[in-house]
Amino acid sequence: MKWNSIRTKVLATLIGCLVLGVGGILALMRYSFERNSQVLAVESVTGAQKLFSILETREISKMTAVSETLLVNPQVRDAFAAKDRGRLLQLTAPLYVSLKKEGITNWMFHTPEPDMTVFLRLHNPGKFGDHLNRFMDKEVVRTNAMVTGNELAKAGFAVRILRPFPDAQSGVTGYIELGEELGQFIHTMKSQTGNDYGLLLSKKFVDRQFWADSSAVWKRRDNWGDNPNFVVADKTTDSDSIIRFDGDLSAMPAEGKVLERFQEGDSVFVRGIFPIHDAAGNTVGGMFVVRDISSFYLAMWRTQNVLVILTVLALAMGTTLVLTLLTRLVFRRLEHIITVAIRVVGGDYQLKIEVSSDDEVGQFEHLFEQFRQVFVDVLAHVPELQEKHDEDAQPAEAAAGGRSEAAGAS
Amino acid sequence: MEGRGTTSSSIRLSRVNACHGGVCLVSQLNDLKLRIEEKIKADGLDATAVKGQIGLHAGKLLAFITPSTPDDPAVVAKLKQAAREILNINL
Repeated sequence: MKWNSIRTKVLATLIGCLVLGVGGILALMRYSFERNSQVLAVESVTGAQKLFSILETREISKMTAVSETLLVNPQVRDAFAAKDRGRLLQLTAPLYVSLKKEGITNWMFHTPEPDMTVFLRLHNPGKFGDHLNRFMDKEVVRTNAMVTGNELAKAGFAVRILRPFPDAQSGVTGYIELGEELGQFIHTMKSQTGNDYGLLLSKKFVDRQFWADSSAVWKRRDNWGDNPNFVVADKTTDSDSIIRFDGDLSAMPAEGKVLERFQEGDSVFVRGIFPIHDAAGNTVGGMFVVRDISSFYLAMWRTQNVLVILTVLALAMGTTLVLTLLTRLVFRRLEHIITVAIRVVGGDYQLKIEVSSDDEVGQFEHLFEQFRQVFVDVLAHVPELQEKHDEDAQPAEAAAGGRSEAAGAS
Repeated sequence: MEGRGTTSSSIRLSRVNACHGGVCLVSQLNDLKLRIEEKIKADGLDATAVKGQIGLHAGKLLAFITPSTPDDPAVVAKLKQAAREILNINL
């Protein structure tokens, strides 16, 4: 292969185009994937936050409806007003079993202020008489109205409602509290979205003994020592990769943020986190969301491969077509001119250039043929070549003479 | 002319240039031409094409070279170089 030939240069240019085209496609697909995976991650965080909010609202509504029913139940009201713990437990325990199946895991009755202690814990009847002294307790006393929100208690981190419980004379006989562990929200969210979730609580807001007690109540492993700053309330996967976080929860934007894209085995995931606030507005934890984008990644990868294959095929076909055209229209004709030129110089004065077209090369063929004729005519007048010229001319003349004689005879 | 069964003896004879006043000179150019023709014939090459290539390389039509062609050192050198490049022979 001649490196300075037009054919090589055209081929090199087309190969360059191919490399650029494939490189461009790969870069574009990579950029597209980066952008789309980021969008998917943001959408996952936003969607999870919205879903969490919807679930919170729905469960608060459910617990409010349950509490309304209990408030108008005279037997429960009278037992609570009489501070008859045994009777109250007897009346409510069967209902608690049913409510627990529906997600209401915490149910407490509190005595009125000023001491405001736990009068009855349906989820742990043997433990009562303690002061919780939480934000919600103070708020319900202050407002004398229902307070809702997320609050840590001995039974864990839960979305709760706490409302005054009136007696028959509409005086406050105490308070009723219902709650649902936030940890179980993530399982509902997983069943609805297919994503994985993990709920993390900042140790700044969780009492060590508090956590040990709640772990004992819910018969779960005390995982306090797993992380220096956080404690995992619950997660929907056995993998610990979704709950890696070294940031500052308090500095996290309200809308959450995307943490990373990562690969585990053949799967590709995006991971994000959004803050969880308690009833007082403190950022007490965060919820991780992990979305499997493997199908998207696979689709992009396939599209990329198809595009690369199509580009290679198209450019290979284009290259073949261009080179074939150049060979037929230019190179072959130029080679013919070169061959004729060499042979004429070598002494074959009768060889002519056939003008095959009136295109650019054809014009050159025509010009070169005219030049060849002038050249041969000049050679015919060179003394050294007279003999050869005459020799070359003889066969033609003999043929012409033969033809005349034949014509005369006839 | 070229490749038409020139024998070694005739080549040897034709290497002798025309004699003037009893002195016979050997034309180096003509000698080179004859040796090129010998090589072409020996290798069974296309004489017209090869002579054309050599002529173009050397800038001299071989047909112009006759026993009476005066030697020009520049043309001789070009012809030798062309023969070396195209026929791979050192003349």
